[in-house]
Amino acid sequence: MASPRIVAFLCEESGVPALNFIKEKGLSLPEGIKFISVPCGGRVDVEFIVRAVRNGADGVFVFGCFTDNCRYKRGNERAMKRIERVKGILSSMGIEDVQVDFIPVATASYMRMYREVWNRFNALSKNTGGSKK
Amino acid sequence: MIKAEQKPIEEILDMISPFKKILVAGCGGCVTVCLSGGEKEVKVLSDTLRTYRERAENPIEILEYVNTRQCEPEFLDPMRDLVEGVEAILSTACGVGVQTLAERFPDKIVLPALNTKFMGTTVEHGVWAERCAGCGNCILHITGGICPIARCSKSLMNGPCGGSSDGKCEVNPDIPCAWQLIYDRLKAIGKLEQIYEPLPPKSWRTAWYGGPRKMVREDLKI
Repeated sequence: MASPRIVAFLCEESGVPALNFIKEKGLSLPEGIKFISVPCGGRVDVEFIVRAVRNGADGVFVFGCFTDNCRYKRGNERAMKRIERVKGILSSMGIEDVQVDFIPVATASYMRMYREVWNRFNALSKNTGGSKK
Repeated sequence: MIKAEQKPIEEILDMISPFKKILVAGCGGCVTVCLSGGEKEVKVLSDTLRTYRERAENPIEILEYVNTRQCEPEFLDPMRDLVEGVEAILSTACGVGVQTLAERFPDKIVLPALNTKFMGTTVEHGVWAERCAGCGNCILHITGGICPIARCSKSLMNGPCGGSSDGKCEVNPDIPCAWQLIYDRLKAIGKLEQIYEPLPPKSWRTAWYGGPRKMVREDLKI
């Protein structure tokens, strides 16, 4: 069975350092996840997520900062609202097998990110029976 | 500027269902400013439609093009080659742009992807509100720069109705009473005496009620 295809946008202030910690600790993550570094979760546009889904992603996640912890004040809130909009678009098209979510993390909570990546990966593997393509 | 919002995606999917190749035509004017029909929105909409149709095993070829302004006929000519190769054009411009496309390409099916809402301003990021009803006879110099035609729910010309309460309209507490705004504004600029000057009954012939309007400037005609 092929692995689900996941695109993960990582905020440079939280997601990227958390991922670095995971690597430093020698923890392994599922193969085939496309990690994309962005200056802030708020940089992730609806366009990016829709394009990822269009290109066959089974899951698109934004790992950004916790509420009130954004270096740019409200970038994480913007990312959350955009995610909600994409969920609305997917729902109106009857697409229910693609997961799209904002997942708050911080450098110190790298284990949360580690668990979330595996949980999402396992859930998608179960739901989709592997990648569509 | 003109404000518009995208139609429900289901409605758009239904409109394009008979076609296998379309052009999504955006506009770089008003609908780019209100983030409903510019370059980015064209990309998102096109990808959304492609994704849906692919998953439905009924793929569609979608071309994308964004005009500087879709309401200017001569700006449409550079897209002529693209238009000729498609079955229909899905326009993300306002109703004016859609009709200009239909007039410029009379043999082509033109579909609206947006619902045109009103002429308005940006109140804050992501919030727009109506400001002008295009009545054709502006009185903003008398009413302190606040239009009672567009902003009073009853378009009253001489003060508020009995439904004005605490500065809010009885139609919806989210709507400020236009005449309260006019009073406050005239007071602030030292022109309150203007509010006591009765405005004569308004002629609506200059508004839409006189039928579709047209403007001619002989000095500009070629």
